[in-house]
Amino acid sequence: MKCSRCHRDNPVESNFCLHCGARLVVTCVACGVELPAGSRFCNKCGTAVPEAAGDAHRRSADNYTPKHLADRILASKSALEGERKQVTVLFCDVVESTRLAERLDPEAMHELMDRILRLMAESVHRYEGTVNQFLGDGVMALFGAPLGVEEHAQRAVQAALAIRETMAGLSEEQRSRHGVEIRVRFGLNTGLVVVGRIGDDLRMDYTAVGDTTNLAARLQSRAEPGAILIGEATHRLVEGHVRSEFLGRMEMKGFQEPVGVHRIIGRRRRTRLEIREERGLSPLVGRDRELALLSEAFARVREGRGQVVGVVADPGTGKSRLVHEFRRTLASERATYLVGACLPYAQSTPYTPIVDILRSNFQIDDGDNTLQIDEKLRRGALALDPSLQSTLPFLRELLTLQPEESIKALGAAAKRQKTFEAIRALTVAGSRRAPLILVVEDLHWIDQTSEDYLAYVIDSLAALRVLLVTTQRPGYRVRWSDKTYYRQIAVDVLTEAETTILIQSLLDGRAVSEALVRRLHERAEGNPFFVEEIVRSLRERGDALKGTLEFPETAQGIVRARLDRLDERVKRTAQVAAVIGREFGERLLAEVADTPACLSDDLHTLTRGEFVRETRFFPEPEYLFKHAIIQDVAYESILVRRRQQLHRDIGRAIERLYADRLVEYHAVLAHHFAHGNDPRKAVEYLVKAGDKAAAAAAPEAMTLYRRALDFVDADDAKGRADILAKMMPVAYFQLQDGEQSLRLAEEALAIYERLGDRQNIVAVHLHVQTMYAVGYGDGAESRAIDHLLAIERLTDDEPDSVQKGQVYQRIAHLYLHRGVPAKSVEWAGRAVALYERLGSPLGTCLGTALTYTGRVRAGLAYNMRNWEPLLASGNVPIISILAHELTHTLALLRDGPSVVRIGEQALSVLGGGAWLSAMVRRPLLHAYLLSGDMARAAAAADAIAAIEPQTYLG
Amino acid sequence: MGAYHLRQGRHDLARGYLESVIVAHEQRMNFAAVGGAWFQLADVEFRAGNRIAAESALEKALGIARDGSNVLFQCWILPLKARCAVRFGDHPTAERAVDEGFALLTSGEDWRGLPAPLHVARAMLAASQRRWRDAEADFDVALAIDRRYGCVHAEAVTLMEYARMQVARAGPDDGARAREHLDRAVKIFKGTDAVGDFDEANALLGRL
Repeated sequence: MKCSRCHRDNPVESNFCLHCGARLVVTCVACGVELPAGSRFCNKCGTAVPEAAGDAHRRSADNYTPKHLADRILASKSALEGERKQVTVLFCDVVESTRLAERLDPEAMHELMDRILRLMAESVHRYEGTVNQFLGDGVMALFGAPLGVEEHAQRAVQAALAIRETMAGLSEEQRSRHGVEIRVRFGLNTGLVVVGRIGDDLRMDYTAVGDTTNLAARLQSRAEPGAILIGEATHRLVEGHVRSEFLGRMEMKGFQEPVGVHRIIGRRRRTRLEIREERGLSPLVGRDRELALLSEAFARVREGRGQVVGVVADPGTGKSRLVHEFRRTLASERATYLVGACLPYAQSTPYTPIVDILRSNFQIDDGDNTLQIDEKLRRGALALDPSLQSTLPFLRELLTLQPEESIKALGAAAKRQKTFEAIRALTVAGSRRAPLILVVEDLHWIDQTSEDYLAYVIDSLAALRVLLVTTQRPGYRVRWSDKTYYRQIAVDVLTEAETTILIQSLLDGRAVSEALVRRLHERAEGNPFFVEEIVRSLRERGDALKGTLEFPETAQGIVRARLDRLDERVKRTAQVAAVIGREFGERLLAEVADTPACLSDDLHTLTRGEFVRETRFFPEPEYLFKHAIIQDVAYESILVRRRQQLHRDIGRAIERLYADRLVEYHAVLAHHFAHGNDPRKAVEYLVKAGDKAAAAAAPEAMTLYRRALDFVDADDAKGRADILAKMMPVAYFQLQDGEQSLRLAEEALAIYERLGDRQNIVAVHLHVQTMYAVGYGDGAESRAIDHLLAIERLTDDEPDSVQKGQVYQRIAHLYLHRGVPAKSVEWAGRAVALYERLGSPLGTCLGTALTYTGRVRAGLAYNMRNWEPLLASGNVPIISILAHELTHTLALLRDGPSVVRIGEQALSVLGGGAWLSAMVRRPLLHAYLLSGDMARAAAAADAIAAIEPQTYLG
Repeated sequence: MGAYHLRQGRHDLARGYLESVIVAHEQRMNFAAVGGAWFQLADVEFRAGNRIAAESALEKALGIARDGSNVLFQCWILPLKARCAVRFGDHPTAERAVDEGFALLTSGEDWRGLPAPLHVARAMLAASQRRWRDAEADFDVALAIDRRYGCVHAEAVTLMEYARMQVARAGPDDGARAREHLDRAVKIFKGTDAVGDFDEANALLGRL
């Protein structure tokens, strides 16, 4: 086996080179199969193999990555350990590069490929993506990793479009020089990847989660020359921002189901709000005050007093929507309204929002050529003011990006100054004709030149009929905040009532449960964008009323990018805090943080950046992630392995810190050890937490026990049975699910029997017989008798006990039901004898059994002896049982008056309880029929009919 | 509930209810309830004139009661079995049922109102064999028991059967006494919503 770095031979099956230590085995990026060194294609799936060590050195990512980006990546500690990231993967290659190579000499080919890859990398970097690997004749790039960026899918598509355009120009050049064409193709897909260790050469190890990377590679290989193919996940994120067509669902190697494929056609200049407007905007809720403030500012502008208003709010709170609604209030006004947007991936492109505004002003469309632009500009500007003639070269250069001969001689600074003056002159002229409203969206992404221009124009705005409205996120420092004509409008989150109105409108007026509204409000915390996105996601899943309320990727991407912009140390502190939970105490965080010495500073930074807020100062500082999504995203970004370690560390820290009141932390400890994959401790605390919940009759006990079962060692049969035995009463009493209770008990019983655990066998037998006796399973009471007889056999040699007597009595009772009173007499007799020996005369069904078998006098006497004292005791359940036994036997003896006397006496004690009184109403109905009292008979029949549907008869 | 529906002449309702009870309790092997339902169903079929169905139901009820040594249940089933046999002319079966029933009523026990139906059944058997004195004696005992334990509807049934015997005997005062019995029976049936019994007693009265 030859090393591709040092070209020396190595023994077959070597993993690393004997001579230079280079890794010899390579892994297929698509299917993960290990391949021998020097492989160019995977022999399992045919995917091109990334270049080998030697070639990679020659064309490594660091050769092409701008220094500032490389420094940021290498400074990231997470990059060294790895992170889970939602990314968009871009594969791009030159089609038929081997034919190209045949037509060029090797040196020319090398130079051309080097140039192609450099141009590709430039486009990737322009949109803040990272070239992860250079493949034979193309690149694989990631957007969203290792550095998180907002709108990674859009950036990836924009980069692909830029590469395609660049390659078209290069192809034109090569055709004229060498008669060769360069054609490229693309595959893009979005999903979760684990980005692993990053080497000094910026080469990243990554593990595809699911089929994210594989699908992108497959799409590339299916693409026609020049085509940009994207998967469904990417399409969802860029839909509306680009023009695309659905190519259908295609079979892809390695995918069981056909995959939806879209082809990108071109760009589309649309703001996020315009795209949302196409889908239909929800009603504006709770923004009256903010709208009034904007209207007030406009009223001043009309009077010639220029105003600057900054609308400030967190992402998704509705800044753009507010401005959009403000525009609608101007429908009847004679005013010019122009909008420009700053873009996250255009911060290094000068004049981005200004050009937007100019294009909008002169009604320049995307497809307009230079001549059209020139004409629209000239006509529009001169119509405003003929003196604007001198500004045209500067404006034309801005809009066409073509150098203007007439201003070529100007130095950079002078040209910039003249351009500023030209734009301002246009603004002044426009404002003379009609009040002018300029809106600059997303100021926090503004490029430096545009910001300088705004500062320049704002200086002279006070006397103009101009209203400049900017939207920005908290944290962006406005350079003109000292101006007296600047004001800031903070847009707050929605209240619960406002959230309810919004949800109802999103669900088309369908009835929405209060619980769902509350859950949504809690999850979205009044952020209207989050509410809309969560509801939309629920609706798309066809499950508007149930389901988990997950934050969609659009929302997560925003937060992820914010977190990635934090200093690495602070970000890691946020991640550790996120593992503790939405709320966390400083004391506990200090125990597990990477850099406890810097914790105060880190928390201060996080608080100032509005990631967390302080909720308590005493007895120890406590914090809360400002929004659940921040915690979610911070948590999800940590590698599972590290997350588990952190959970374990946190669990142990809690055990240490709160040893004196650990009972308060059982559920929390259970959570941390369960997520920390410490099964022994997880079971211990899950069971303890479950016991606590069960003691409080809380149904959550079931979830805790069930989770404990997941962690019980497969060999620990006793441990499993013990948890099952705890679950069976919870299922029956708290969840009212007898069937589940019976299944749990039967499983526990089988285990205990295998282990010979007599005490637990008896306990579970007792539960199982109850389940059968009350009608669960097939409801066969004979099974209940079998279980009771099993107990009797197991406990026969044990000393007398009340429990033993109860078993005899249960058997006697069930034999009565079984229609065998003779056997009932026998078992009830044993119970009576045992109770007498214990000196504890508890009730049995002996009286009834004796009466059935013809020993009427003795039977009635037994029951009557207990009746009056019992009635006086007020023990309602027992009174109902004995009253049933007495009245039933007396009815069978056709002694109507006695039945009525005892039955009505019992009813007066039992009150309105339908279940217990039903036990007496049947014999009473019988007695009323005997006596001919049909009015009472009808009332009794109605009561019985009402309760029967709730029994197995129903 | 079956008896309640039957009393009001709602035979189909009674039958449907009892059949569902039998299914539900049989599944649970709760045979005491199954036996009770079979007995009540037998009464429904007997009154509807369905001899085979009535006899079948009676045998099932009796089998359960006998297997479990349930004396009380047997004392309810046997009189109906005897009456059913008398109506369809099977005197030996009626005789055996009556004898079996009385044999269960051992002396020294407090049987309360339980023996009355057995006396009525034995009276009906005697009447069908023209043993008028025996019949009369049993009818009188049954009436006394029913009155003592306030079994008003049963008393009316006894009076109707007593009248039927008197009509059959056709003695000097029998017409007047039968009318007297029937008048009272009709009154009770009316007051206890016993629709079928009321019609039957009225029809008998009309023939006098």
